[in-house]
Amino acid sequence: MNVIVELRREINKRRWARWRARHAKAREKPYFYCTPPPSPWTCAPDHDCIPEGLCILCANTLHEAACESDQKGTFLAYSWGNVDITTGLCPGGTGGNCWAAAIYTSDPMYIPSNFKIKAKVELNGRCSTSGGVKADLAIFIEVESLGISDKVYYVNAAELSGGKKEWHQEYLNLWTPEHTATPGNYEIKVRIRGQGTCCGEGTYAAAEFNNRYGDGFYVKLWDIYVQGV
Amino acid sequence: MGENFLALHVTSKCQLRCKHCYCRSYTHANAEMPLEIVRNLCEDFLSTEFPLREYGIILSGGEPLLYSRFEQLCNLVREFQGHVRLSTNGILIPKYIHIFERNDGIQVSIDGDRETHDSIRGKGSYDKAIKALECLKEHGIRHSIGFALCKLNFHCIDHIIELCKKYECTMLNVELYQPFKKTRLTVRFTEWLKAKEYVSKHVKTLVTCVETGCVAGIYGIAVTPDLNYWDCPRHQEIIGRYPQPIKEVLREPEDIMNPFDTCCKYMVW
Repeated sequence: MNVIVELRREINKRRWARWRARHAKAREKPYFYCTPPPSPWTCAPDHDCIPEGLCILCANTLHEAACESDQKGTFLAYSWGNVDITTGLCPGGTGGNCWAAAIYTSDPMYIPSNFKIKAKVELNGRCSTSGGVKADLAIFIEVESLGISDKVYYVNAAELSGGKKEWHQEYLNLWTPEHTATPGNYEIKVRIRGQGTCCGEGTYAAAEFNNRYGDGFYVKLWDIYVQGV
Repeated sequence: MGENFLALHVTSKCQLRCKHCYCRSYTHANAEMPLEIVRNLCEDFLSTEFPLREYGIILSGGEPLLYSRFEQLCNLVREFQGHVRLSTNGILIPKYIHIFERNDGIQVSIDGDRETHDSIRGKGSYDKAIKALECLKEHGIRHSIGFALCKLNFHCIDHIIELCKKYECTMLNVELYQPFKKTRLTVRFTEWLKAKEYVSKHVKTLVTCVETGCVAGIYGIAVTPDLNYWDCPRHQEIIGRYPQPIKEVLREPEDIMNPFDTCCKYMVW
């Protein structure tokens, strides 16, 4: 009897291993109105992080966007993106602007003729500013091929300047307005951008997006959802 | 996606005697994990190096809301991870609703329609679980449904999906009922997969370790009220005992296992 049980288990193990290999990809197929398959985060380039004006000593501008990746360097979906920004201002400088963004691009999802899109995003981190730097945090839901870029969440500079704002496991359910389109499959992007702007006054100023442990401002996309209207 | 887990079975007490309960193997019927030990375990867990970035502490039981100092327990867990996650039968949710916060994660177990749920869990338990969902929805606290699929409730899948939508659950956790011996309650593994695929077309579900590979004792452990370390709440192999450091009992990351070697070994394909 034991031999039969062992044999059956061995067969089941092989079946599972075969099933696993076969479905590793197939399970990632998207369903209309449902969560899309895992796709990579990308991290925005830093070409906008250039101090402006005549400030010779503006060495203090740091910027970084990072995405969690596996050992082969493939960015992981539903994992943390890191928007890590510090902007600095030299004495008497004329200012600078620095931003970093984590961008999530879905595999093509079906979009009907009238639709709106929801993204559920988690934020973990805080923004602190000093010395007159302005900062803002914005989240965009975009369908580039349809020319749509909705800014669905925005914390403006006035709210962030001169103080602190903290998001601790903050879950945001963000909806775009209604749109019309030719039905079809489209890539959807969620762009989470932190930005600091130095305005050139004061001896030292900084805007920092970071968490309480000082290892980054973490963002995560939990869900994208297309709803026909 | 995934996280390192510490499943704390803080008490063995429960008001129900569910037919498919997997927690009847505790040594003591009324054991409770002292708060100080909960603190030590959380500290040990969070300072242990695991393969994944994220860490999750999950309260379970028995029925965790029967823990004698439940509010203090929640406050303690919040010190470590900022929120509380637990699995409950829902009976005491209205009583403790003031303790929960918006970002907590409360999973209420519902095993079918009223008749089926009550036949598995006891008369009147369905209405109490539904009341818990209403209460959590009303207070805007993150909640989900845990549905242990077995032969008794296979016909209730649509009902559970409807509940999920009606009460705005964040997801439906379609659990696989995994027996510790041969039993007639279990659905086939492939039936469970089909059911899960069906559910995922309607509501959000979880990708489970049964699909991706068993990580028992690799990404985390479970601790019983009598302070044994299990490699996983489902597999229940004792791999150590408190106060042994967690890092000493963990398996190596490359040991990710075939679930038909562990929790699914009594399942039919």
